[in-house]
Amino acid sequence: MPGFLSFHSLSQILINGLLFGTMYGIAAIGVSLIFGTMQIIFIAQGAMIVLAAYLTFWLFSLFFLDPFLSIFFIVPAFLLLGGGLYQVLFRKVAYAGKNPSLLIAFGFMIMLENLMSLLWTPNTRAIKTSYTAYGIEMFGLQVSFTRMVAFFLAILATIVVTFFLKKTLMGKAVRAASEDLGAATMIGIGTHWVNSTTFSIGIGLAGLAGVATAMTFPFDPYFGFIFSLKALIAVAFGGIGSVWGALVGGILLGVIESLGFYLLSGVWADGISYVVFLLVLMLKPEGLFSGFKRIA
Amino acid sequence: MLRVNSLNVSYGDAQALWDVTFSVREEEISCLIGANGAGKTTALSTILGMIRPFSGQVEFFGSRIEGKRPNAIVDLGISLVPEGRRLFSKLTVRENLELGAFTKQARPLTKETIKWVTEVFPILEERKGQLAGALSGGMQQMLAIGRGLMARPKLLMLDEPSLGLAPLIVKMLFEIIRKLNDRRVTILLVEQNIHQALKISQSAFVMKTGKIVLTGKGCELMADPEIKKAYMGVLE
Repeated sequence: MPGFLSFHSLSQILINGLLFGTMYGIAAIGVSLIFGTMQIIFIAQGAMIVLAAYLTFWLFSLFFLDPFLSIFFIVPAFLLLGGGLYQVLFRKVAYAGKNPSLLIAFGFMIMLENLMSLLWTPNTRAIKTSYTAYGIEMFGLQVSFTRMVAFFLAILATIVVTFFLKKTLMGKAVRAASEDLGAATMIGIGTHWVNSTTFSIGIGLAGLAGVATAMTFPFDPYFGFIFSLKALIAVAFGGIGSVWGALVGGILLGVIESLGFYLLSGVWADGISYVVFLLVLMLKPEGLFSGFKRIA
Repeated sequence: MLRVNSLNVSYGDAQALWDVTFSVREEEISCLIGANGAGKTTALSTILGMIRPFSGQVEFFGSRIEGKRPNAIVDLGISLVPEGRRLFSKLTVRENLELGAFTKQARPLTKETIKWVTEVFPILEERKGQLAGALSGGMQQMLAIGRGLMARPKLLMLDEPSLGLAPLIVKMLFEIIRKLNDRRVTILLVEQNIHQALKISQSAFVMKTGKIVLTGKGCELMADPEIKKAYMGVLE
Protein backbone atom coordinates (compact mmCIF):
# COMPACT_ATOMS: atom_id res chain seq x y z
CA MET A 1 0.00 0.00 0.00
CA PRO A 2 1.56 3.30 -1.00
CA GLY A 3 1.57 6.22 1.42
CA PHE A 4 -1.43 8.46 1.90
CA LEU A 5 -0.49 10.66 -1.02
CA SER A 6 2.66 9.36 -2.56
CA PHE A 7 3.83 10.69 -5.89
CA HIS A 8 2.71 7.48 -7.49
CA SER A 9 -0.85 7.54 -6.22
CA LEU A 10 -1.14 11.26 -6.94
CA SER A 11 -0.15 10.68 -10.56
CA GLN A 12 -2.60 7.83 -10.77
CA ILE A 13 -5.39 10.09 -9.49
CA LEU A 14 -4.45 12.84 -11.89
CA ILE A 15 -4.45 10.47 -14.84
CA ASN A 16 -7.83 9.03 -13.90
CA GLY A 17 -9.26 12.49 -13.41
CA LEU A 18 -7.87 13.65 -16.71
CA LEU A 19 -9.31 10.73 -18.60
CA PHE A 20 -12.67 11.02 -16.88
CA GLY A 21 -12.74 14.77 -17.30
CA THR A 22 -12.49 14.58 -21.08
CA MET A 23 -16.03 13.10 -21.04
CA TYR A 24 -17.21 16.21 -19.23
CA GLY A 25 -15.22 18.27 -21.70
CA ILE A 26 -16.91 16.74 -24.73
CA ALA A 27 -20.33 17.24 -23.18
CA ALA A 28 -19.33 20.80 -22.32
CA ILE A 29 -18.30 21.67 -25.87
CA GLY A 30 -21.78 20.74 -27.07
CA VAL A 31 -23.44 22.75 -24.31
CA SER A 32 -21.18 25.71 -25.00
CA LEU A 33 -21.84 25.72 -28.75
CA ILE A 34 -25.60 25.52 -28.32
CA PHE A 35 -25.48 28.22 -25.68
CA GLY A 36 -23.44 30.41 -28.01
CA THR A 37 -26.15 30.63 -30.64
CA MET A 38 -29.41 29.87 -28.84
CA GLN A 39 -28.55 31.37 -25.47
CA ILE A 40 -30.00 28.42 -23.62
CA ILE A 41 -28.39 25.74 -21.49
CA PHE A 42 -29.35 22.57 -23.31
CA ILE A 43 -30.09 20.64 -20.16
CA ALA A 44 -30.93 17.47 -22.06
CA GLN A 45 -27.34 17.08 -23.31
CA GLY A 46 -26.58 14.54 -20.59
CA ALA A 47 -29.70 12.54 -21.40
CA MET A 48 -28.63 12.48 -25.06
CA ILE A 49 -25.25 11.12 -23.95
CA VAL A 50 -26.95 8.38 -21.98
CA LEU A 51 -29.19 7.64 -24.96
CA ALA A 52 -26.08 7.16 -27.08
CA ALA A 53 -24.64 4.94 -24.36
CA TYR A 54 -27.76 2.77 -24.41
CA LEU A 55 -27.68 2.52 -28.17
CA THR A 56 -24.06 1.44 -27.96
CA PHE A 57 -25.00 -1.10 -25.32
CA TRP A 58 -27.85 -2.29 -27.51
CA LEU A 59 -25.74 -2.60 -30.64
CA PHE A 60 -23.19 -4.50 -28.59
CA SER A 61 -25.52 -6.93 -26.88
CA LEU A 62 -27.91 -7.54 -29.78
CA PHE A 63 -25.63 -7.34 -32.78
CA PHE A 64 -22.29 -7.94 -31.07
CA LEU A 65 -21.05 -4.72 -32.58
CA ASP A 66 -17.84 -3.51 -31.05
CA PRO A 67 -18.33 -0.19 -29.20
CA PHE A 68 -15.50 1.38 -31.19
CA LEU A 69 -17.22 0.48 -34.44
CA SER A 70 -20.55 1.78 -33.20
CA ILE A 71 -19.00 5.28 -33.26
CA PHE A 72 -19.33 5.17 -37.03
CA PHE A 73 -23.07 4.63 -36.72
CA ILE A 74 -23.93 6.62 -33.66
CA VAL A 75 -22.04 9.84 -34.32
CA PRO A 76 -23.48 10.38 -37.84
CA ALA A 77 -26.94 9.38 -36.58
CA PHE A 78 -26.68 11.88 -33.75
CA LEU A 79 -25.48 14.63 -36.08
CA LEU A 80 -28.68 14.13 -38.07
CA LEU A 81 -30.76 13.72 -34.94
CA GLY A 82 -29.46 17.06 -33.63
CA GLY A 83 -30.58 18.97 -36.70
CA GLY A 84 -33.90 17.14 -36.62
CA LEU A 85 -34.42 17.89 -32.94
CA TYR A 86 -33.97 21.57 -33.61
CA GLN A 87 -36.39 21.55 -36.51
CA VAL A 88 -39.04 19.64 -34.58
CA LEU A 89 -38.71 21.04 -31.08
CA PHE A 90 -37.15 24.48 -31.25
CA ARG A 91 -37.68 26.03 -34.65
CA LYS A 92 -41.15 27.32 -33.83
CA VAL A 93 -40.05 29.05 -30.64
CA ALA A 94 -36.71 30.35 -31.88
CA TYR A 95 -37.95 33.94 -31.86
CA ALA A 96 -40.02 33.66 -28.70
CA GLY A 97 -37.16 34.27 -26.28
CA LYS A 98 -35.20 31.76 -24.24
CA ASN A 99 -37.81 30.54 -21.78
CA PRO A 100 -39.85 28.38 -24.16
CA SER A 101 -36.67 26.74 -25.49
CA LEU A 102 -35.39 26.12 -21.99
CA LEU A 103 -38.69 24.56 -20.93
CA ILE A 104 -38.80 22.40 -24.03
CA ALA A 105 -35.26 21.19 -23.36
CA PHE A 106 -36.20 20.38 -19.77
CA GLY A 107 -39.35 18.55 -20.78
CA PHE A 108 -37.45 16.69 -23.45
CA MET A 109 -34.91 15.55 -20.88
CA ILE A 110 -37.61 14.18 -18.54
CA MET A 111 -39.30 12.46 -21.45
CA LEU A 112 -36.06 10.93 -22.64
CA GLU A 113 -35.11 9.68 -19.18
CA ASN A 114 -38.45 7.99 -18.71
CA LEU A 115 -38.46 6.58 -22.20
CA MET A 116 -35.06 5.06 -21.57
CA SER A 117 -36.08 3.55 -18.27
CA LEU A 118 -39.11 2.08 -20.00
CA LEU A 119 -37.08 0.66 -22.87
CA TRP A 120 -34.02 -0.53 -21.01
CA THR A 121 -35.22 -0.67 -17.38
CA PRO A 122 -33.76 1.64 -14.73
CA ASN A 123 -31.06 -0.89 -13.89
CA THR A 124 -27.48 0.14 -14.24
CA ARG A 125 -25.81 -1.20 -17.36
CA ALA A 126 -22.24 -1.59 -18.44
CA ILE A 127 -20.52 -3.04 -21.45
CA LYS A 128 -17.98 -5.75 -20.94
CA THR A 129 -15.77 -6.37 -23.92
CA SER A 130 -12.67 -8.51 -24.08
CA TYR A 131 -10.56 -5.40 -23.60
CA THR A 132 -12.61 -3.56 -20.94
CA ALA A 133 -10.36 -4.68 -18.16
CA TYR A 134 -7.25 -4.25 -20.26
CA GLY A 135 -4.83 -1.73 -18.88
CA ILE A 136 -1.68 -0.17 -20.20
CA GLU A 137 1.34 0.17 -18.03
CA MET A 138 2.86 3.64 -18.56
CA PHE A 139 5.71 4.97 -16.42
CA GLY A 140 4.61 2.57 -13.74
CA LEU A 141 1.03 3.84 -13.87
CA GLN A 142 -2.01 1.77 -14.72
CA VAL A 143 -4.05 3.37 -17.48
CA SER A 144 -7.30 1.82 -18.64
CA PHE A 145 -7.16 1.11 -22.34
CA THR A 146 -10.75 2.19 -23.08
CA ARG A 147 -10.37 5.43 -21.14
CA MET A 148 -7.18 6.15 -22.99
CA VAL A 149 -8.91 5.67 -26.32
CA ALA A 150 -11.83 7.81 -25.15
CA PHE A 151 -9.36 10.54 -24.25
CA PHE A 152 -7.80 10.55 -27.71
CA LEU A 153 -11.22 10.49 -29.34
CA ALA A 154 -12.18 13.53 -27.32
CA ILE A 155 -9.05 15.39 -28.40
CA LEU A 156 -9.69 14.41 -32.00
CA ALA A 157 -13.31 15.59 -31.82
CA THR A 158 -12.19 18.90 -30.37
CA ILE A 159 -9.71 19.34 -33.19
CA VAL A 160 -12.39 18.57 -35.76
CA VAL A 161 -14.84 21.04 -34.19
CA THR A 162 -12.16 23.72 -33.99
CA PHE A 163 -11.27 23.14 -37.61
CA PHE A 164 -14.92 23.44 -38.60
CA LEU A 165 -15.36 26.69 -36.69
CA LYS A 166 -12.11 28.23 -37.86
CA LYS A 167 -11.74 27.14 -41.44
CA THR A 168 -15.13 26.58 -43.01
CA LEU A 169 -17.56 29.28 -44.05
CA MET A 170 -20.32 27.48 -42.14
CA GLY A 171 -18.20 27.46 -39.02
CA LYS A 172 -17.38 31.14 -39.41
CA ALA A 173 -21.09 31.83 -39.72
CA VAL A 174 -21.69 29.96 -36.48
CA ARG A 175 -19.03 32.04 -34.73
CA ALA A 176 -20.47 35.23 -36.18
CA ALA A 177 -23.98 34.32 -35.07
CA SER A 178 -22.85 33.51 -31.56
CA GLU A 179 -21.23 36.92 -31.34
CA ASP A 180 -24.11 38.96 -32.79
CA LEU A 181 -27.12 37.04 -34.01
CA GLY A 182 -28.87 40.20 -35.21
CA ALA A 183 -25.96 41.29 -37.37
CA ALA A 184 -25.59 37.76 -38.73
CA THR A 185 -29.25 37.80 -39.74
CA MET A 186 -28.83 41.18 -41.40
CA ILE A 187 -26.10 39.93 -43.69
CA GLY A 188 -28.22 36.97 -44.74
CA ILE A 189 -27.18 34.17 -42.40
CA GLY A 190 -30.40 32.31 -41.54
CA THR A 191 -31.02 31.92 -37.82
CA HIS A 192 -32.61 28.50 -38.17
CA TRP A 193 -29.76 27.32 -40.27
CA VAL A 194 -27.16 28.34 -37.68
CA ASN A 195 -29.16 26.94 -34.78
CA SER A 196 -29.70 23.61 -36.43
CA THR A 197 -26.01 23.38 -37.34
CA THR A 198 -24.90 23.99 -33.76
CA PHE A 199 -27.50 21.53 -32.52
CA SER A 200 -26.22 19.01 -34.98
CA ILE A 201 -22.65 19.36 -33.76
CA GLY A 202 -23.63 19.50 -30.11
CA ILE A 203 -25.72 16.33 -30.33
CA GLY A 204 -23.08 14.66 -32.50
CA LEU A 205 -20.60 15.26 -29.69
CA ALA A 206 -23.14 13.85 -27.24
CA GLY A 207 -23.18 10.74 -29.42
CA LEU A 208 -19.41 10.42 -29.18
CA ALA A 209 -19.41 11.04 -25.44
CA GLY A 210 -22.16 8.44 -25.09
CA VAL A 211 -20.18 5.74 -26.86
CA ALA A 212 -17.16 6.58 -24.75
CA THR A 213 -19.25 6.51 -21.59
CA ALA A 214 -20.71 3.15 -22.48
CA MET A 215 -17.23 1.71 -22.90
CA THR A 216 -15.84 3.04 -19.67
CA PHE A 217 -18.55 3.49 -17.05
CA PRO A 218 -21.71 1.89 -15.82
CA PHE A 219 -24.75 4.06 -16.52
CA ASP A 220 -28.48 4.26 -15.88
CA PRO A 221 -31.24 6.37 -17.50
CA TYR A 222 -30.96 9.16 -14.92
CA PHE A 223 -27.20 9.47 -15.08
CA GLY A 224 -27.55 12.19 -17.71
CA PHE A 225 -28.79 15.03 -15.57
CA ILE A 226 -25.68 15.00 -13.41
CA PHE A 227 -23.68 14.85 -16.63
CA SER A 228 -25.43 18.02 -17.88
CA LEU A 229 -24.67 19.77 -14.61
CA LYS A 230 -21.03 18.76 -14.82
CA ALA A 231 -20.88 19.96 -18.40
CA LEU A 232 -22.29 23.28 -17.26
CA ILE A 233 -19.59 23.56 -14.59
CA ALA A 234 -16.94 22.74 -17.17
CA VAL A 235 -18.31 25.47 -19.44
CA ALA A 236 -18.15 27.94 -16.56
CA PHE A 237 -14.52 26.95 -15.92
CA GLY A 238 -13.53 27.37 -19.52
CA GLY A 239 -15.50 30.48 -20.28
CA ILE A 240 -18.54 30.44 -22.53
CA GLY A 241 -17.87 30.28 -26.24
CA SER A 242 -14.45 28.69 -26.02
CA VAL A 243 -14.17 25.17 -27.40
CA TRP A 244 -10.76 24.32 -25.95
CA GLY A 245 -11.74 26.14 -22.76
CA ALA A 246 -14.69 23.78 -22.39
CA LEU A 247 -12.48 20.73 -22.92
CA VAL A 248 -9.84 21.93 -20.47
CA GLY A 249 -12.58 22.97 -18.05
CA GLY A 250 -13.97 19.45 -18.21
CA ILE A 251 -10.57 17.90 -17.62
CA LEU A 252 -9.97 20.24 -14.70
CA LEU A 253 -13.31 19.25 -13.21
CA GLY A 254 -12.45 15.58 -13.62
CA VAL A 255 -9.13 16.07 -11.84
CA ILE A 256 -10.71 18.05 -9.01
CA GLU A 257 -13.34 15.37 -8.53
CA SER A 258 -10.95 12.50 -8.46
CA LEU A 259 -8.71 14.36 -6.01
CA GLY A 260 -11.77 15.01 -3.85
CA PHE A 261 -12.79 11.40 -4.14
CA TYR A 262 -9.42 10.21 -2.97
CA LEU A 263 -8.63 12.80 -0.31
CA LEU A 264 -12.06 13.03 1.34
CA SER A 265 -14.57 10.47 0.19
CA GLY A 266 -16.78 9.60 -2.74
CA VAL A 267 -19.70 11.34 -1.09
CA TRP A 268 -17.81 14.61 -1.20
CA ALA A 269 -16.61 14.47 -4.79
CA ASP A 270 -19.74 16.12 -6.19
CA GLY A 271 -19.89 18.62 -3.34
CA ILE A 272 -16.34 19.73 -4.05
CA SER A 273 -16.99 20.29 -7.72
CA TYR A 274 -20.01 22.48 -6.89
CA VAL A 275 -17.99 24.48 -4.38
CA VAL A 276 -15.27 25.05 -6.96
CA PHE A 277 -17.99 25.99 -9.45
CA LEU A 278 -19.37 28.63 -7.08
CA LEU A 279 -15.89 29.93 -6.35
CA VAL A 280 -15.16 30.31 -10.07
CA LEU A 281 -18.45 32.09 -10.64
CA MET A 282 -17.75 34.44 -7.74
CA LEU A 283 -14.10 35.16 -8.43
CA LYS A 284 -13.67 34.76 -12.16
CA PRO A 285 -17.06 34.59 -13.84
CA GLU A 286 -15.59 35.11 -17.30
CA GLY A 287 -13.84 31.72 -17.07
CA LEU A 288 -10.45 30.66 -15.79
CA PHE A 289 -8.64 31.02 -19.10
CA SER A 290 -10.22 34.26 -20.18
CA GLY A 291 -6.87 36.02 -20.39
CA PHE A 292 -6.23 34.30 -23.69
CA LYS A 293 -9.77 33.36 -24.50
CA ARG A 294 -10.82 33.28 -28.08
CA ILE A 295 -13.89 31.95 -29.73
CA ALA A 296 -13.10 28.45 -30.97
CA MET B 1 -36.06 50.07 -58.15
CA LEU B 2 -37.37 50.12 -54.57
CA ARG B 3 -40.86 51.33 -53.75
CA VAL B 4 -42.10 51.56 -50.22
CA ASN B 5 -45.85 52.01 -50.19
CA SER B 6 -47.94 53.07 -47.14
CA LEU B 7 -45.87 51.05 -44.76
CA ASN B 8 -47.24 50.72 -41.22
CA VAL B 9 -45.05 49.10 -38.61
CA SER B 10 -45.49 48.76 -34.90
CA TYR B 11 -43.54 47.36 -31.98
CA GLY B 12 -46.26 45.86 -29.83
CA ASP B 13 -48.70 48.67 -29.12
CA ALA B 14 -46.43 51.47 -30.25
CA GLN B 15 -46.68 52.29 -33.90
CA ALA B 16 -43.31 53.31 -35.31
CA LEU B 17 -44.08 53.93 -38.99
CA TRP B 18 -47.24 55.59 -40.31
CA ASP B 19 -48.06 55.28 -43.99
CA VAL B 20 -44.46 55.62 -45.02
CA THR B 21 -44.14 55.97 -48.79
CA PHE B 22 -41.01 56.67 -50.76
CA SER B 23 -39.07 55.24 -53.64
CA VAL B 24 -35.44 54.85 -54.56
CA ARG B 25 -34.38 55.21 -58.18
CA GLU B 26 -31.67 53.09 -59.71
CA GLU B 27 -28.11 54.43 -59.60
CA GLU B 28 -29.06 57.35 -57.41
CA ILE B 29 -28.13 58.27 -53.89
CA SER B 30 -31.27 58.76 -51.84
CA CYS B 31 -31.24 59.85 -48.26
CA LEU B 32 -33.60 59.44 -45.39
CA ILE B 33 -33.11 62.08 -42.78
CA GLY B 34 -34.76 63.10 -39.56
CA ALA B 35 -34.23 63.36 -35.81
CA ASN B 36 -33.55 60.47 -33.45
CA GLY B 37 -36.50 58.15 -33.12
CA ALA B 38 -38.12 59.36 -36.32
CA GLY B 39 -38.28 55.79 -37.62
CA LYS B 40 -35.41 55.77 -40.11
CA THR B 41 -33.76 52.63 -38.78
CA THR B 42 -37.16 50.96 -38.50
CA ALA B 43 -37.79 51.74 -42.16
CA LEU B 44 -34.49 50.12 -43.18
CA SER B 45 -35.07 47.09 -40.95
CA THR B 46 -38.50 46.60 -42.47
CA ILE B 47 -37.12 46.77 -46.00
CA LEU B 48 -34.53 44.14 -45.06
CA GLY B 49 -37.19 41.86 -43.58
CA MET B 50 -36.02 42.09 -39.98
CA ILE B 51 -39.43 43.47 -38.99
CA ARG B 52 -42.79 42.60 -40.55
CA PRO B 53 -45.07 45.50 -41.38
CA PHE B 54 -48.73 45.07 -40.46
CA SER B 55 -49.77 46.80 -43.64
CA GLY B 56 -48.20 48.29 -46.74
CA GLN B 57 -45.90 46.97 -49.44
CA VAL B 58 -42.23 46.96 -50.25
CA GLU B 59 -41.51 46.40 -53.92
CA PHE B 60 -38.05 45.66 -55.28
CA PHE B 61 -37.75 45.64 -59.07
CA GLY B 62 -41.49 45.20 -59.28
CA SER B 63 -41.87 42.21 -56.97
CA ARG B 64 -43.19 42.30 -53.45
CA ILE B 65 -40.62 41.50 -50.79
CA GLU B 66 -42.33 42.40 -47.50
CA GLY B 67 -42.72 39.36 -45.29
CA LYS B 68 -39.73 37.58 -46.82
CA ARG B 69 -36.86 36.53 -44.58
CA PRO B 70 -33.73 38.69 -44.43
CA ASN B 71 -31.57 36.01 -46.10
CA ALA B 72 -33.95 35.92 -49.07
CA ILE B 73 -33.98 39.71 -49.32
CA VAL B 74 -30.19 39.99 -49.10
CA ASP B 75 -30.03 37.35 -51.81
CA LEU B 76 -32.29 39.49 -54.02
CA GLY B 77 -29.76 42.29 -53.81
CA ILE B 78 -30.47 44.53 -50.84
CA SER B 79 -27.76 44.89 -48.30
CA LEU B 80 -27.68 46.86 -45.05
CA VAL B 81 -24.69 48.38 -43.32
CA PRO B 82 -26.22 48.62 -39.87
CA GLU B 83 -26.01 51.42 -37.38
CA GLY B 84 -23.04 50.98 -35.07
CA ARG B 85 -21.39 48.80 -37.74
CA ARG B 86 -22.16 45.52 -35.92
CA LEU B 87 -18.98 43.83 -37.11
CA PHE B 88 -17.98 40.42 -35.79
CA SER B 89 -15.20 41.72 -33.61
CA LYS B 90 -13.71 38.32 -32.78
CA LEU B 91 -13.41 37.42 -36.44
CA THR B 92 -10.72 38.69 -38.73
CA VAL B 93 -11.21 41.37 -41.35
CA ARG B 94 -11.10 38.73 -44.06
CA GLU B 95 -13.61 36.50 -42.29
CA ASN B 96 -16.01 39.41 -41.91
CA LEU B 97 -15.79 40.01 -45.63
CA GLU B 98 -16.27 36.34 -46.48
CA LEU B 99 -19.42 36.21 -44.39
CA GLY B 100 -20.76 39.22 -46.22
CA ALA B 101 -21.02 36.92 -49.23
CA PHE B 102 -22.87 34.21 -47.35
CA THR B 103 -26.01 34.27 -49.46
CA LYS B 104 -26.54 31.90 -52.39
CA GLN B 105 -25.93 34.26 -55.29
CA ALA B 106 -22.93 35.99 -53.77
CA ARG B 107 -21.11 32.97 -52.36
CA PRO B 108 -19.60 31.59 -55.56
CA LEU B 109 -18.31 35.08 -56.38
CA THR B 110 -16.58 35.61 -53.01
CA LYS B 111 -13.02 35.77 -54.39
CA GLU B 112 -13.84 38.24 -57.13
CA THR B 113 -15.89 40.43 -54.85
CA ILE B 114 -13.13 40.54 -52.24
CA LYS B 115 -10.80 41.72 -54.99
CA TRP B 116 -13.23 44.44 -55.96
CA VAL B 117 -13.89 45.52 -52.37
CA THR B 118 -10.20 45.65 -51.47
CA GLU B 119 -9.65 47.78 -54.53
CA VAL B 120 -12.09 50.29 -53.09
CA PHE B 121 -10.68 49.85 -49.57
CA PRO B 122 -7.01 48.84 -49.90
CA ILE B 123 -6.63 49.04 -46.13
CA LEU B 124 -8.85 45.96 -45.77
CA GLU B 125 -6.29 43.93 -47.73
CA GLU B 126 -3.43 45.19 -45.57
CA ARG B 127 -5.27 44.34 -42.37
CA LYS B 128 -6.92 41.14 -43.52
CA GLY B 129 -5.56 38.98 -40.70
CA GLN B 130 -6.43 41.41 -37.91
CA LEU B 131 -9.44 41.01 -35.70
CA ALA B 132 -12.21 43.40 -36.69
CA GLY B 133 -12.49 44.55 -33.09
CA ALA B 134 -8.91 45.84 -33.19
CA LEU B 135 -9.53 48.30 -36.03
CA SER B 136 -10.06 52.03 -35.54
CA GLY B 137 -13.56 53.45 -35.92
CA GLY B 138 -13.03 54.67 -39.44
CA MET B 139 -11.56 51.38 -40.62
CA GLN B 140 -14.39 49.51 -38.94
CA GLN B 141 -16.86 51.57 -40.93
CA MET B 142 -14.98 50.76 -44.12
CA LEU B 143 -15.06 47.08 -43.21
CA ALA B 144 -18.78 47.33 -42.48
CA ILE B 145 -19.38 48.88 -45.89
CA GLY B 146 -17.09 46.32 -47.46
CA ARG B 147 -19.01 43.51 -45.80
CA GLY B 148 -22.23 45.03 -47.12
CA LEU B 149 -20.80 45.16 -50.64
CA MET B 150 -19.76 41.51 -50.46
CA ALA B 151 -23.38 40.50 -50.95
CA ARG B 152 -23.23 42.10 -54.42
CA PRO B 153 -26.11 44.42 -53.61
CA LYS B 154 -28.07 46.30 -56.20
CA LEU B 155 -29.18 48.53 -53.36
CA LEU B 156 -26.85 49.36 -50.49
CA MET B 157 -28.50 50.81 -47.42
CA LEU B 158 -26.24 52.68 -45.03
CA ASP B 159 -27.52 53.41 -41.53
CA GLU B 160 -25.73 56.36 -39.92
CA PRO B 161 -22.31 55.57 -41.37
CA SER B 162 -20.76 58.75 -40.02
CA LEU B 163 -21.83 58.18 -36.43
CA GLY B 164 -18.95 58.54 -33.99
CA LEU B 165 -16.29 59.28 -36.59
CA ALA B 166 -13.87 62.20 -36.64
CA PRO B 167 -14.79 65.03 -39.07
CA LEU B 168 -11.91 64.26 -41.39
CA ILE B 169 -12.93 60.61 -41.61
CA VAL B 170 -16.54 61.64 -42.18
CA LYS B 171 -15.46 63.69 -45.16
CA MET B 172 -13.56 60.74 -46.56
CA LEU B 173 -16.54 58.50 -45.95
CA PHE B 174 -18.90 60.66 -47.98
CA GLU B 175 -16.26 60.71 -50.70
CA ILE B 176 -16.30 56.91 -50.68
CA ILE B 177 -20.10 56.79 -50.82
CA ARG B 178 -20.02 59.04 -53.84
CA LYS B 179 -17.33 56.88 -55.43
CA LEU B 180 -19.39 53.74 -54.87
CA ASN B 181 -22.30 55.47 -56.50
CA ASP B 182 -20.07 56.29 -59.48
CA ARG B 183 -19.53 52.54 -59.72
CA ARG B 184 -23.27 52.16 -60.19
CA VAL B 185 -24.21 51.07 -56.67
CA THR B 186 -27.59 52.49 -55.75
CA ILE B 187 -27.51 53.90 -52.26
CA LEU B 188 -30.09 54.59 -49.60
CA LEU B 189 -28.47 56.64 -46.90
CA VAL B 190 -29.78 57.32 -43.41
CA GLU B 191 -27.92 60.17 -41.81
CA GLN B 192 -27.86 62.58 -38.90
CA ASN B 193 -25.21 64.53 -40.72
CA ILE B 194 -27.86 66.20 -42.82
CA HIS B 195 -25.82 68.83 -44.59
CA GLN B 196 -23.31 66.33 -45.98
CA ALA B 197 -26.01 63.80 -46.79
CA LEU B 198 -28.14 66.22 -48.76
CA LYS B 199 -25.10 67.45 -50.63
CA ILE B 200 -24.41 64.06 -52.19
CA SER B 201 -28.02 62.87 -52.60
CA GLN B 202 -30.24 63.21 -55.61
CA SER B 203 -33.43 62.47 -53.68
CA ALA B 204 -34.22 63.03 -50.06
CA PHE B 205 -37.01 62.16 -47.66
CA VAL B 206 -37.50 63.77 -44.31
CA MET B 207 -39.04 61.73 -41.53
CA LYS B 208 -40.64 62.97 -38.36
CA THR B 209 -42.26 60.79 -35.68
CA GLY B 210 -42.75 57.88 -38.03
CA LYS B 211 -44.07 59.78 -41.02
CA ILE B 212 -42.50 61.13 -44.18
CA VAL B 213 -43.05 64.86 -43.94
CA LEU B 214 -41.07 66.11 -46.89
CA THR B 215 -39.83 64.65 -50.17
CA GLY B 216 -37.68 66.36 -52.71
CA LYS B 217 -34.38 66.65 -54.48
CA GLY B 218 -31.31 66.84 -52.28
CA CYS B 219 -30.39 70.33 -53.34
CA GLU B 220 -33.95 71.57 -52.98
CA LEU B 221 -34.23 70.37 -49.43
CA MET B 222 -30.89 71.90 -48.62
CA ALA B 223 -32.29 75.30 -49.49
CA ASP B 224 -35.56 74.70 -47.64
CA PRO B 225 -35.79 77.17 -44.75
CA GLU B 226 -37.73 74.70 -42.61
CA ILE B 227 -34.99 72.10 -42.94
CA LYS B 228 -32.32 74.65 -42.21
CA LYS B 229 -34.07 75.72 -39.07
CA ALA B 230 -35.11 72.30 -37.82
CA TYR B 231 -32.08 70.17 -38.60
CA MET B 232 -29.07 72.25 -39.44
CA GLY B 233 -29.12 74.56 -36.49
CA VAL B 234 -29.39 77.66 -38.62
CA LEU B 235 -31.16 80.44 -36.78
CA GLU B 236 -32.92 82.92 -38.95
